[in-house]
Amino acid sequence: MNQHSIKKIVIVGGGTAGWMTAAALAKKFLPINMDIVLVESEAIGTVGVGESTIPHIRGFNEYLGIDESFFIAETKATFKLGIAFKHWGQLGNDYIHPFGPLGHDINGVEFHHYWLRMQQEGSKYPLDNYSMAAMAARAGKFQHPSTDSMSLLSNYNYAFHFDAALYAKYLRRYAEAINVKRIEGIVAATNLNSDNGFIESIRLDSGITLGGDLFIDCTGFKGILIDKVLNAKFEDWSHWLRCDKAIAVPCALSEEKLTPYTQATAQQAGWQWRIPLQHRTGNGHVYASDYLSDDEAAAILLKNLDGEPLAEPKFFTFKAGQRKQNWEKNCVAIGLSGGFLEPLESTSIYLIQVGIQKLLDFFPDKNFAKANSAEFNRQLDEEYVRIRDFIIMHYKENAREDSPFWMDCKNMSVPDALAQRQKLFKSTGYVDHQQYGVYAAVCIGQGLIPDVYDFKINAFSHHKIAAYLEKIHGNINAAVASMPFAQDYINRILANTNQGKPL
Amino acid sequence: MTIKKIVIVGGGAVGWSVAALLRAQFPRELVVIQLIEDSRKDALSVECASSRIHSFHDLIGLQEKICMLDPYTHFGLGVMYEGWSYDSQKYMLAGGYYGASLDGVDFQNIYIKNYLSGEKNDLDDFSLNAVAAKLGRFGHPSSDSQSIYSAIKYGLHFQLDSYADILKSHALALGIDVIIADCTAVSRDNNSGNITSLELDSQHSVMADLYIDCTGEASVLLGDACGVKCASDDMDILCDRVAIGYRLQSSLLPSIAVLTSTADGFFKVIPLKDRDVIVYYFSSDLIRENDIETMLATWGFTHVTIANYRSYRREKFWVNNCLAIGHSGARYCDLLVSPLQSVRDSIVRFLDLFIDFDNVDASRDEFNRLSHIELDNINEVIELHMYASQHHSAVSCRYFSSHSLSSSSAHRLNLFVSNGRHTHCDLSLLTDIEWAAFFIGNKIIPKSYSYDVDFLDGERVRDFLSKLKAVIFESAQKIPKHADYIKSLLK
Ligand SMILES: Cc1cc2nc3c(=O)[nH]c(=O)nc-3n(C[C@H](O)[C@H](O)[C@H](O)COP(=O)(O)OP(=O)(O)OC[C@H]3O[C@@H](n4cnc5c(N)ncnc54)[C@H](O)[C@@H]3O)c2cc1C
Repeated sequence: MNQHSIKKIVIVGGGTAGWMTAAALAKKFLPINMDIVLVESEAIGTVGVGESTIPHIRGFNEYLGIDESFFIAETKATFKLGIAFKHWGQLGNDYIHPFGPLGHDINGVEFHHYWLRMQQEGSKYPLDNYSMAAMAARAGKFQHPSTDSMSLLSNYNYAFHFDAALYAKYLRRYAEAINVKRIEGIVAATNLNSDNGFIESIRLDSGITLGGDLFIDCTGFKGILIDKVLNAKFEDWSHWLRCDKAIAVPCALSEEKLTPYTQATAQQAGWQWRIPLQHRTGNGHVYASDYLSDDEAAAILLKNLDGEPLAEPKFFTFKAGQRKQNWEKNCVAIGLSGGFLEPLESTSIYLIQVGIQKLLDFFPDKNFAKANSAEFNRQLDEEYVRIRDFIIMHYKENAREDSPFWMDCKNMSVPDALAQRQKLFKSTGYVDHQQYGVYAAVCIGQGLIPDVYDFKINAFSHHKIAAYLEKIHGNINAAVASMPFAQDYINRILANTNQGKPL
Repeated sequence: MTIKKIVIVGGGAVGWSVAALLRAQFPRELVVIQLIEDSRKDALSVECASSRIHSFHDLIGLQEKICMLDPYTHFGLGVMYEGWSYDSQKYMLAGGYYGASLDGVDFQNIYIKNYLSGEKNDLDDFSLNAVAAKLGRFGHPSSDSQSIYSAIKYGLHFQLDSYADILKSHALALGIDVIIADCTAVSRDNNSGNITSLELDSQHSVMADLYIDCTGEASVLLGDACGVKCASDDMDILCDRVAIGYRLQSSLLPSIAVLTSTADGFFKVIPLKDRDVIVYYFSSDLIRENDIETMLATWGFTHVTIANYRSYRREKFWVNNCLAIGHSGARYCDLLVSPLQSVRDSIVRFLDLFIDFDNVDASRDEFNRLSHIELDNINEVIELHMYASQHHSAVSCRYFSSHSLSSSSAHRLNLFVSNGRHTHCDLSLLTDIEWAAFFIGNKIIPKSYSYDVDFLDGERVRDFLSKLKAVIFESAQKIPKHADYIKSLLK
């Protein structure tokens, strides 16, 4: 510690973002007894959704040292191998964005080029056939990936579906156990230094004033702190991402076996999610209010549930976009306070994680160097834009003519870099691996089929490539057949887990 | 499937690198590749290649042993920078790691905290590469990642005519067709802008689906025939001449190239097996050619040639069916970033993006975009080196009287100065620790360091650093003497 070190951090907000941040900072600063306070208000409550994740969440839990089985038991989690997109691109389409690769490259040429050639020469097999994650997901199978990198059973990745409220509760216990002080209250005022505009303190409705060196805004859509220091500068992306509302409702589990994937079904002016947990299924309908009334949206959602609704539908209103700077002066916004991208690719919790990771990478001292926060913002923006463009692509690449919403999406102009990337993929099948996700799986799934495949594979005969693809598919089928059902696998884990085990 | 054809114009290390890679990667039954070897000479004479060369040699299937049998080729462990920001300055940019982390705390930050507390260790002492090089040692890295010797990273120094011959025989063995001729005229289709054929002085004419311009500064295809202009002078280091000479050596020199900034320019001395070569960029209105020659002569360098030099980049590097690789597309001062490495990166980029002969529009746009990013990054390295020497070199000082530090360089500098951190960019040229070595070597020291160093006990850190230094020194002493190693290698 030196005289410039940050000594007190104030986190406002106790949703997923607030408690993830509190837990990670407390863990990091354990050796120096950092003073960390979290203020939250039960009266305001949390957004209460956000139950589907991507594999990075596991790294976060590992960092905190949380045992996976224990986590699964505590948060009623299930395994996730990808997202199944139904009716996206075209009515009747059904593809999976898998957590894991497609086939494998040979001679430096990516697998989808071989697949493309076979399609051009008459084959009809979907790309999913060559993905371990997609095939296992469809079969309702799951087991932990093998650590033997030579085995096909190592060739996929996984994430979780979990109960967001239980996760936050769990992280709260974790953080409080390592000295995070929780204060119940509503922030009534933010006091700025009149010279430099830094936050000096916040005042709670109870009259308490809390000072600090660094303030982290996890107040959700309100963004009450960042709004103050930034003066409400927000970059609106809703001309690309038109959905601005959601309704969520949990329902009873279906009779069928647990599906280890998130279902995203396109509707006439948006899409519907289905996220199976151990004790219920989470459902929601994300839609564009310019094209669909709330009543219509609710009716669509309720018509498409697997079981009895377990609660009253809850409505959400949002706008796609990001605050201009997520770190301004001594205030850092993490979570919904920093920006919003719809949950189509389950990336919000991941963006919280990125925010936390980058805050640790660029953790300030009391000098709050401009270059430091500028670099944090630059890197975080890059990540937001990467995901934003990926989500926009799902809307843009469609051939649906059954509703004005989809036709308007098809005809919209998209960010230049995305347009160039899509053009490159369409004309050559080239994938920039800096981009988010299994790019080729989603492009092709959406119906963006490259015009050509890599000419180099013309050196192989049709027969040879067909046999190669068949072999991959056969091996995957055999591997999937050897896996247990996801439901049975979870049951076994739960049976072996000593619930309520201390941290 | 019709057979396609690619014609590469210009031999030299550039043309033959292109030929070797494309021939190694494009199936012979699908593509014919011809190289027209003209009588032009390479502008460059030596290359100080970093460790990145190995992956290229792997791609073309060229064995290192073949390169080492050449009478000039030498191993390189790093570059020593002298006299950039002050007279007695000497620091190395060595490949590989520096130091080691302690309890998950990054070495750079440990070093900086210690430095700020008054213990001004020499950063070089924490690089096995640097220590071994200074002791005149060399050995290949160990493949055992647990061994300290896995930290070694080495490059190769080439005499370029000789290296071009190595590449040429390799490419010929791979099946390249070669025509020895000069290209006298280029025909283009007025509508499409495509090149339709090349006339050769041997009375032949050749036609191809794709033409690759490796004609150097002459830029016979891209510049001359296709009319692609030079876009900017932003790479300009304000030197307009380059002098090259060599001096023979009776014993093997250490594997260190030395890069020095002077009042009137910059020069690099690159050791080869039997000689060292000097490449001196200078401004002819600060020092006369004669004076340079005299100076080089007093240092023992003979066979000095002086040529004009200018930096440029063309607006595009690939238009229609014409792709430029090397100086035909851009030229920058070759002291800091090897232009041949940029050539290798360009061909790999081309290979990566080139999917089909009849569908190149989007690939071409992407290739051009990435090439500009790469040049911007090179520019940043050059610019920051000039920035470091601006109070010491008349050329650098003059540069900053007419240019200001670009915003990306200024950001990189500020980020390091404030908290010892690094920004990341696409196609980055230097690693974080190399940037740190550059800044620290120029006495640009962060005001602060990362908080997690404070988790460590100060006494323990000092102890750790002194042990580390000792271990590195002892380990370096166990590496064979460079001359012995080469002798045994070539046996
Ligand atoms: C419809 C929908 C579906 C989603 N689905 C997913 C998904 O599948 N996967 C995913 O990763 N993400 C998803 N998300 C996003 C995810 O829900 C959020 O990223 C996550 O819950 C984090 O929210 P938060 O903590 O930032 O905000 P919140 O949960 O809103 O928490 C805000 C906190 O701030 C407190 N607060 C607010 N104002 C004050 C005040 N004045 N004083 C004191 N305290 C205050 C509140 O009490 C609360 O504790 C979804 C979001 C929506 C809207």
